[in-house]
Amino acid sequence: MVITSVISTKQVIQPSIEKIIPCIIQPMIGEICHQVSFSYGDELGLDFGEMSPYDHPKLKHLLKGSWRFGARASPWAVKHHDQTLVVTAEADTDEQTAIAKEIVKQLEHKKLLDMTIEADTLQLTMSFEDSYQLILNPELDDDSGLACWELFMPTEQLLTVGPGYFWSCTSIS
Amino acid sequence: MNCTYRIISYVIMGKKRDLKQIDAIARECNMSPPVRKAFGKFIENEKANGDMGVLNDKGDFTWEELQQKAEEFLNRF
Repeated sequence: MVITSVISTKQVIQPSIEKIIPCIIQPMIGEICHQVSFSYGDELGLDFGEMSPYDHPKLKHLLKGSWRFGARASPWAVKHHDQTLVVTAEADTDEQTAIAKEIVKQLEHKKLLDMTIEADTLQLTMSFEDSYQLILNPELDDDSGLACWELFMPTEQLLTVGPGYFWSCTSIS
Repeated sequence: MNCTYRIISYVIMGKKRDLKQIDAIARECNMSPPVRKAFGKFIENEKANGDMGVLNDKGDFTWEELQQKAEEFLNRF
């Protein structure tokens, strides 16, 4: 198993994370978001690239992408033409969550144009065609131990950012 | 399978609690990250199919229920 990871102070990681992460995910740019879905805990998931069925017999009717992005528990927002369509929070009601789930579906079948991360806030911005943006705003003071987001890659690697300024890119084959 | 009982802090509520429980069970059951990801999908799929948990009126699962689900999930892999 090959593990690349950084546990560092903000000062050390600051100049690098905003450059390293986009390099790792560069091959995903230009891929289509084929599917927006949710898993247990209302975790937002976006599937890109080649779609294939799950191996598990009870999930064979569901598809997964060769690139699988998971927002974990990070709050997210969707913008269209710089207008905010929805902003989520941990304390959202069931009704608010249901509305947010419908709105974020607008990202389906959109091409990913860019993905940037801010070193200070770890805010992740995914820009899609037709002027859509998905923005993750990780809670840096969160003590749950959960990652801010994760990305399963077709190279059999898992990129994980968070908790805090920790990130890793791990072989999972 | 060796899923031992583990106490999860219920100070953490809602989505974070659910995700932490899935992660904790995945660790207990030595699931790889892709299997853990599929397990989260499996649990959501169970709820969607009407196999709800008793934790709350949303049909979320208790720790014991998730342990049983993990066993079922792994046995059918």
